[in-house]
Amino acid sequence: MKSNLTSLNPSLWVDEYANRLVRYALSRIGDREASKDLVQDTFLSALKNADGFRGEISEQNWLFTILKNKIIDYYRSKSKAIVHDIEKDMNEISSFFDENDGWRDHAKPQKWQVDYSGSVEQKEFYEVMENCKKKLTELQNIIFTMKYLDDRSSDEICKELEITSSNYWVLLHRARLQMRQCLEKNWFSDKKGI
Amino acid sequence: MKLLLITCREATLLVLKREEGKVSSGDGFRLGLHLLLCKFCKLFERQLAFMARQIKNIHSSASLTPDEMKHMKILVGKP
Repeated sequence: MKSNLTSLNPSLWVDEYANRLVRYALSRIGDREASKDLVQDTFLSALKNADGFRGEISEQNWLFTILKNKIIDYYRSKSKAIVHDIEKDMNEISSFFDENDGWRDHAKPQKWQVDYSGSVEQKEFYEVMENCKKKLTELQNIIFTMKYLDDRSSDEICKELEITSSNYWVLLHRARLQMRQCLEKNWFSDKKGI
Repeated sequence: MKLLLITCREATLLVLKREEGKVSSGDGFRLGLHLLLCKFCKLFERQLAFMARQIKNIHSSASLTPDEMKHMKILVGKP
């Protein structure tokens, strides 16, 4: 019986896939060194488990699956370490609202000169968005990424990260308020009629 | 009797919960009413929906340096 290793080409993995895997990890983790480590671990794990590869999916998809699982493990270990910051997040939500829980003047959403149902063409916009995302705290970023890039539901995220749903809402609420404000300040506030 | 009017803070949270279908019909009604009356929260809602769609288009353009590639190849080794 032919060895499964003949359908994999480990000696080509780094050249073929390393950058793509790193980019994927980086867009979800934000930390370059950690992303590199996860990709390295992915390759090592793949070598160890090469016998389990049945060729039902492509080599690339297989490697990405291994990486995705490692990213979830990474998220989980981070969320265990950071949950106690929730008070800080709640206070930061308060900074957007006044004593009656109405919008503070500096935080009020402004009109954006954009077609809300369309897409933005300029690639600088996405760079601004990426930079705004980097300003989120680690746990806010993880949750924001899982929800908006990976389309996970709140139940799935709470289960994977082992956090309570009330903490989830606080973290995501805070992340959204901040992202929106950051995007407005850094892109929309001085674009007139673009 | 629960208050009919909700605050902007509550509204911004309910907009989020509604995305996930986690809002009771009572809260959904209160939210709908608030969004009719409050232009800022209405903007918030539209902008968040817009943002959620655009966020999928961000991608990192990072690359490993030649040294990093070399190092990784050594670590991964050959079978």
